[in-house]
Amino acid sequence: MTSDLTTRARPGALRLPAGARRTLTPYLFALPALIYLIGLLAYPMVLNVVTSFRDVTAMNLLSGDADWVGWSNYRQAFSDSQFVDATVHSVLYSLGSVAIQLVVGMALALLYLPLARGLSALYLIGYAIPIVVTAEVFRWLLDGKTGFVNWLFGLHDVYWLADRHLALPAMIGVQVWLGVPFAMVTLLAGLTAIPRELFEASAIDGAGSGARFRYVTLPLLRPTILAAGILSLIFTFKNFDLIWIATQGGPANASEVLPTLGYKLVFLQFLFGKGAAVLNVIFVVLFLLSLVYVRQVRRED
Amino acid sequence: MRTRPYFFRKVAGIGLVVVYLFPIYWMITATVKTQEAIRAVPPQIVPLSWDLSSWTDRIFGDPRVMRYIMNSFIVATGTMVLTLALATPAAYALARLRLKGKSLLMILSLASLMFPAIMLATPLFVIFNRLGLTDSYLGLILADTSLALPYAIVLLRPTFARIPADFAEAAQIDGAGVFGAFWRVVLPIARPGLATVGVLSFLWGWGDLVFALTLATEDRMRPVTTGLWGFFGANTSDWGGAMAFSTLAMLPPLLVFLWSQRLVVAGVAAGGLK
Repeated sequence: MTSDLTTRARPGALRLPAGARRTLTPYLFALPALIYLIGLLAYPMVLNVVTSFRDVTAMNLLSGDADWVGWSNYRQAFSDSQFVDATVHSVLYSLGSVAIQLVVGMALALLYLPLARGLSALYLIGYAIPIVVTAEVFRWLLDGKTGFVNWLFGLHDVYWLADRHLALPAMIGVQVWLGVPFAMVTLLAGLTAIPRELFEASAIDGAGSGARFRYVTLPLLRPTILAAGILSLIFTFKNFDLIWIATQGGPANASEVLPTLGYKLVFLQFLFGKGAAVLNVIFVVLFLLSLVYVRQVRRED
Repeated sequence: MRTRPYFFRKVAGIGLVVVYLFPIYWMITATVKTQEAIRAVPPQIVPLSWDLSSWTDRIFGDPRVMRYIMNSFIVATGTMVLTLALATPAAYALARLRLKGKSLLMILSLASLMFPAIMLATPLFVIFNRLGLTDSYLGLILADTSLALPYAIVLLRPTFARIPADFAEAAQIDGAGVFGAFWRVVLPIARPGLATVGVLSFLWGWGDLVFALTLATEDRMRPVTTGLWGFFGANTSDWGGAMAFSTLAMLPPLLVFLWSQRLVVAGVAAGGLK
């Protein structure tokens, strides 16, 4: 787009020199979104960081004149056993469910690769419906009295979501149901992109299906697996909806994760500064994960 | 030669889909069972007797439910429209136009990946309180769009980058402005990408729980997500009613999905939004 080709002004158009109009118009395209993101994403985030360093209470929340307290909110949060538990749960929950999701997603992707795409796409129904609905359905499936899961395994009175030792593993299971479609569809897209000749060549060279998977599929799929894994980790680590509806972090914090803890501190206990500190920890973890993701995307490009 | 393994693969593939979708089947069938059938051991995989009282008593007998559904439609549609209106020109500018500050927009969009909705909720609550936007459709739409917009930009940029630059340039040489070329030439070609983003942002707006929980506390403003939660709370044993409400809350996204399956698959494969 060189300017000597495009300087002819259209009669009746905006009365600016044609050159200036050509330079300015691109900004009219990008500015609305940029202003929106600064006002409703960046500014709130900064506000959250600021809040984490102030003694914000229900009294001064809206007036905005709370005292500055340095790192006190963070110290309070970190020394709290609830925070330590929630961090451990968040890590177990995210790593556990994402690892299972990737293995199951890979197995399903390999199974569905030669089959019609319409069949594997049906899994995305689990992705399209509201997480609240998923949580509600599994609350019933995992119920101790009338839950289908207990009947299936011949168990009686096992209250999966109300048991201190079972709540978190059960929630990992539900999260796998929720996350498998994403893993499978992403891996399936990656598998489809691998040229068939590579498989045929290695088959001619005498490689069995196990060796083909180990030496051809896995190395070529590495970027896809990494991207799917990191994105799933980010989604899971920051997800609030599923655990909140299914257990509210209970029983007795047994399935408490950082997002539900942050919500409780802010919206139920009105400890705004401490809550903001906890939520900022999530942000820092996700920031580091995103850096890995961006680097991965760069390398793929 | 490969027909027999292929046949078994197909059977396994269909079988696993059935297993995976069983929870949804279980939810829907519960809504037409009697209370006794819902609690029956062994469970009735196929409902033996039909009873629609879960629907008539709990859902259609309660005017609040239709209100929740309507609220969700307004918020999801608003989120879709606002997201498309803001993301489309921005993504085009990133992909094709010459301007400074591209990297700022791109970094902001990618950074949003790590912004949990729950983290945005407190500051937005404070800001919206000052502006009088809590308990309003506009407030919910603005909040939902704040997280849908960055994904939309990230998804749409490659869509525009794939459309050959010659198309818009040819239109500009013919006398169309930058905007004219974008509106009349580029947009029609980008329709599938726009539809993907539209569907995903609708699903996002429909499924939002966090902003509904924090920014819409009045019952008349609740969408289905918090409506369902408020209706049955944490300790329900009215599974028939809870499943009927869940089915209703699932139905619009399910229909949107079935109608636009390919688009959703394309969107999810490109990074997803959830």
